[in-house]
Parts: sequence; C-alpha cells; structure tokens
Amino acid sequence: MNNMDVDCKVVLLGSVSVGKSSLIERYIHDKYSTTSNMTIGIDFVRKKEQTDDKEVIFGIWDTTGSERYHSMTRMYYRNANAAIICYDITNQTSFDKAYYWAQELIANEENCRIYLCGTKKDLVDNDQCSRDVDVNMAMKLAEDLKGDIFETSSKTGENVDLLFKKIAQDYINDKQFNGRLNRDGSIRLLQGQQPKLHRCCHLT
Amino acid sequence: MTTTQKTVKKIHVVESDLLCKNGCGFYGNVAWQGFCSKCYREVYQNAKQAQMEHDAAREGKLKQKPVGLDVVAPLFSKFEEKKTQQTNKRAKTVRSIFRKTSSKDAQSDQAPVRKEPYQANVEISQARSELMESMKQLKRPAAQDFIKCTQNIIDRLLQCSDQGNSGQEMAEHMQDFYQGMADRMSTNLLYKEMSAELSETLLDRAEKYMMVKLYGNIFCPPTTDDEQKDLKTQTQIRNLHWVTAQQLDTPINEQDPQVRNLVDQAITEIIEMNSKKAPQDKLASIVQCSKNIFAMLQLSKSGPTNADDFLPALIYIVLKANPPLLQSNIQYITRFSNPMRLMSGEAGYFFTNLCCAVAFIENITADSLSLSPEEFDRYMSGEALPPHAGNKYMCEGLRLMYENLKTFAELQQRQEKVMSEALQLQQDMKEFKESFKQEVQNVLQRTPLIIKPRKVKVQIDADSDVLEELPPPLLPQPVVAQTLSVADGNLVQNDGELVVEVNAN
Repeated sequence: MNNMDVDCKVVLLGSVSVGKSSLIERYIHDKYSTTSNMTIGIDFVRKKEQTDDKEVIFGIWDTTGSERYHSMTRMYYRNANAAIICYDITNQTSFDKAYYWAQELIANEENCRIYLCGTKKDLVDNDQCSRDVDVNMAMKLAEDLKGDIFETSSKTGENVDLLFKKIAQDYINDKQFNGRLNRDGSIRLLQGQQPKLHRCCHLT
Repeated sequence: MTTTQKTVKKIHVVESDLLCKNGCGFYGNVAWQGFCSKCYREVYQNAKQAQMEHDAAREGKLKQKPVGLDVVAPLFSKFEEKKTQQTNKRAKTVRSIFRKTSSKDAQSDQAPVRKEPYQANVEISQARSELMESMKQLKRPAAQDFIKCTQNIIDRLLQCSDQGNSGQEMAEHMQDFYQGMADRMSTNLLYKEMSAELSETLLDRAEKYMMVKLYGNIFCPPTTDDEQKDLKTQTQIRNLHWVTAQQLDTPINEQDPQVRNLVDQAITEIIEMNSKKAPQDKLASIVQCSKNIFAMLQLSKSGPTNADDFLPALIYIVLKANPPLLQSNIQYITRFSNPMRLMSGEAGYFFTNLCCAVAFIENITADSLSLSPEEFDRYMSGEALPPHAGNKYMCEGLRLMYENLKTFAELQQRQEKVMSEALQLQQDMKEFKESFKQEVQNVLQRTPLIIKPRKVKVQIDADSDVLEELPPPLLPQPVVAQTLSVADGNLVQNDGELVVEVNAN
C-alpha cells in the first residue's frame, strides 16, 4: 500500500520555467541539472523528512505552470497541507502570477499553509542588477499570507533544505496542536477536514 | 449464490424470512422489503407512482429517481440507439439484483446470464478470501467486530441503492465508514495490538471486497447523471478526433515505433480501467497508464519530463483512447475510494491529472489549442481537417507501411554496406596478389638462382696425386738436450750436472 503512506501533501505552484522541477530535483536527489541533461521525470515524489523527533513523509506534487491549464490547478491543490508558490526573482511577471495563486489558495484552501519561494537566487548573487522582484515586497506578501518566504537556489542548493525542514516542522506543530497522534507516535493524517460525527451507530 | 456468500447473508437474514411476506410461496428478499419481486411490484406500484409524480413536480429533471425495477427500463431507452454497450451494462446491473437475491430458486429464469454472475462470484470470493486471510491475524473479537462493521456498511449501501438514494448519499456513507473504521482501529481497545500495516491492509482488502461485491449497485447508479455525462464526454472526444500532438504541445513523437508502442500500451491501460472493479485496481490502471506516458515522453524528448509535459500528453492519450464510461469511473473512484488514496499518494496525483485532463477536454476552446475560433468550429463540425491530421499515424495500414519503409531503408543501407565491403575485399585481394608477386620478384632478384656442378664423393682410400703434395709424415726424434728457457738464462744438462748459463747481456 505504498500509495497511501504519505502524510503531508505539498503542492508546487508557479509559472512555467520558474524552476519548480529543479527545486524538487535538488531536494530529492541533491543535484542540479540544466533541462538538457536532466535524467529523471519529475511529477510526483515521496520523501521522508526528519525533524527533531518526528518523521514526516512528504508527497510532493508538481503542477504544470502552463497558462492554458490554470483553470484546472484547483484540483491539484485540493486538500494540500502545504503549497510552495514559486516565482523567479529575476522576473517580475512570475511574481505577479505568484500573487494570483496566493489569492486562489486563500480563497479555496484555508487549511493550506503557504510558502513563497523565490528561485534562482544564484543569478542575483552573481549579478545584483538582475534582481527584478523586491525582497521587501515579497516579504510583505508573505506577511499578508501569514506564510513564510525563502529565496532559494536550486543550482547551489541554498535554502532548499531549509524550506522543506520548515514545512515539516510547521506540519508537525499543526498536528500536535490538533492533538491527533497515533498510539505509536506517528503522525496521523487529517486530510484537512475535521472528522465527522458518525451517524452510523455501529461505528461510534 | 456461493455458499460463502450465504453465510454472510445469514448474519442478518433469518431462514424463515426468506419467503415472500405475501405468502405466495416464492422467496422474498430484503431488497424488496421481504416480498418476492412480483408482489413487491404490486404492493409498491402505487406508492412509487405517487412518489414519482411528487418528484417530478419538485425537480423536473430528476423524475426518474425512484428505482422501481419497472421504472429503470424507460430510462435506458433514451440512449439505446446511441450506446448499446452502455445499455448492456445497465441491463446487467438490473439483472444483478435478481441474481443476488433469488438465484437459488429462479435459476431457470436466468439461464442466458449464467456465465457472467459466475465470473463475478469468482472475483467476489477471491476478494473475500484475501480479506479473510489478513483477518486471520486479528484476534477473534476484533475480527468479529470488523466483519460486523463491514457487513453493516454493505447492507447500508445496498439499502441506499434499493431506495434510489443519490450517489452522494452512498458516497457519504462510504466515506464515513473509512473515517470511522480508521478511527476505530486506532482508538478501540479491540484493535489494540494491531500494527499500522495490518490495519491498512485490512482496510484495503475490505474496500476491495465491498466494492467488488457491490459494483453492480453502486457503479454509475441510475439516480445520478453519470450516464449523461459519459455520453457527453464521449461525443466531445469523438468530435475532437482531429486534435494532434502538436496542437497540444506535447513532444510525443509518434513516428518512432517504440513510442508508438508505449502509446498503445497507455491507451490499453486506460481503457482497461473500466473493466476493473475495485477503486484501487482502477487507480492502478491509471498509474500504469501514466507510467507509460512518462516513458514515451522520455523517449520522444530524450530528456527530462515534468508536469508541464505530462498533462498535455495525458490529454492526448485520453483523446485517442476515448475510454468507455470515463465520467462514471471518475465519479465512482471519487465517491467510493478510500480518501487517503486520493488525497496525497501517487495514485491520487495521477487521478487528479486525469480529472484535469477530462475537465480540459470538456471545456476545450479554440484558445486552448491555439487555433482561431473559425478554424476550431470548422474542425469541430467535421467540415475540415487540420493539416497533419491526428489520424495519420493512428491508421494501422499506414503505420505498417511506415514501419516497412523504415525496415526497407535499413535493409538497403545494410545491402550497400555489404556491397562496399565486398568491393573492398576484392580490392584487397588484388592488392595482396600484386604485392605478393612483387615480393617474390624482389627475393628472386636479390638471390638469383645459380646452379652449381654436382659434388663428387671423395674416395678417401684411393691413390691420388694429391698425396704426393702432402708433407712427409712427422717422425719421432730422440731428445739430446732439453733446452728450457728460464728468464734470460739457459738451463743446460751436461754430464749429469745442471749448469745454468747466464747470458751476459
């Protein structure tokens, strides 16, 4: 039943070529490849993340950034525990798009934690002029969303692990807050919805 | 009905209750509230009629709601001419109600459908024995409790389907069951010693068993509009037969036979989904189909694939496959699958992708294919076909021809290679001959052949003139004095005395 053992659903959102797949590749395989020499297809990946004392299994969903499928993105982030909204810090348009997704998420998935992720930090580190998205502006958006913001580089790996560690930590904190742990101490899946009261008398 | 099933029924049906309440002598059934089918129809005809009128007044569209067996038939007639396959399926569903309840005494009635229920029963008993297998690891009270819960939800769903409740309602029952069961297994003392894996396996197998058993009742129930949606989607896909891979921006290279092969496999998988019964099996088909798509993308692009490529490719495959009862299958999985599966796992991901693909196809516009509205309309109405229409490589004959052409080209290439190598060999042989000749010539020149006169054997003993020329043989001579040279002096033996004569110089 390996398809059911995922605790935390993480969805990656963002326009085309902001580096969603590269972000996953860096996180999962700890390597970076340009599109021409990437070897593995990335779509759905599963990874264990260890925090201080607990283990979370991420199921990471990559989504298509293509404009023509925007109307369908809602299906992907349904019941997600966390969403990473990626934008390219050298490209203001991608940030505008991120803003759009943030609004969508807030409107549709109130239980989903939002993480802003500015990608391609290495480009800006090499050349300050290439920055197109102001950090303060991004921070303000993150504040509005009550989310976190990270600027990452999949090329150097900077901040990538930090981002996922933070997601895992937040996820566990949320769960503990809800006080729902299995008897064996593992984290239990809530699926974003509160358990219903059972009308079936045999089950209560 | 197999004996195994009968024991399950016994839990809630007492033998004496099996006869029709009306006392007509036939067997009755819980599904018909204790009547036999005939009496049930008589007794409830009026009630149903009234309810139907009531419903019709309330919601014009849903007037088919009551599921009286007599009412179901007219519903199909609407689509009969369009979809024989569809109606067959539904007819089977109706038959299955008879079959499940009265097979014991009414076998003569159903001789024509004998084979199908037998098959279904095999599947059911297989799922059942799997469930029992894992149940063996439970303690007795826990197992009893589990069976009780499972039986309960089965009854509940059967009841729902008999009363013509909406699909939504059944789905809610099912979801409650999954949630409730998971909670129960983690909190109830009965299940205290059970490992997490076992509880997952149990739930998984219980799900499979229930779904296979109830498939006829809960798949595409007549109370929903699944069937209409199926037809709509099917027609839409048919109208879109002209869509090419290029229009969808997918890099699938259909001219490559290997890719072609994977396309065929993916299409087979997604079509096969409809023949599976348990939601997890259907999902497995979808996952397999998606894996094939990834493989073909990798081949076509010789590079990375990600979500950006995957969705268009999936849409393309769905368009080419036109899987039967697609909407019903999606609805069925959404309603009755364990939600954990759909929430986060791999199967959930691919299922979501499939839903997206279907949504895209439903709402397809000129924009989404980057065509002008006029072009799109013309293609949709079948007036025109776009250049490089999609069917080019789908046609078996043409495909075969292309493959043959390719083989021929390859053969020709090989032939040429053989030919040139043969020529080369010929050349080599000639050269070798020449150089060999030259070599021989050289050797001959360097060392010309001189014929010497024949040698004659010498007669050693024969007299010859040569002997005369030889010096005379050596003769022994007596030694008078022996002169020994010692440094610069002479040692001379003289009359018995040794005298050393030293040279004065």
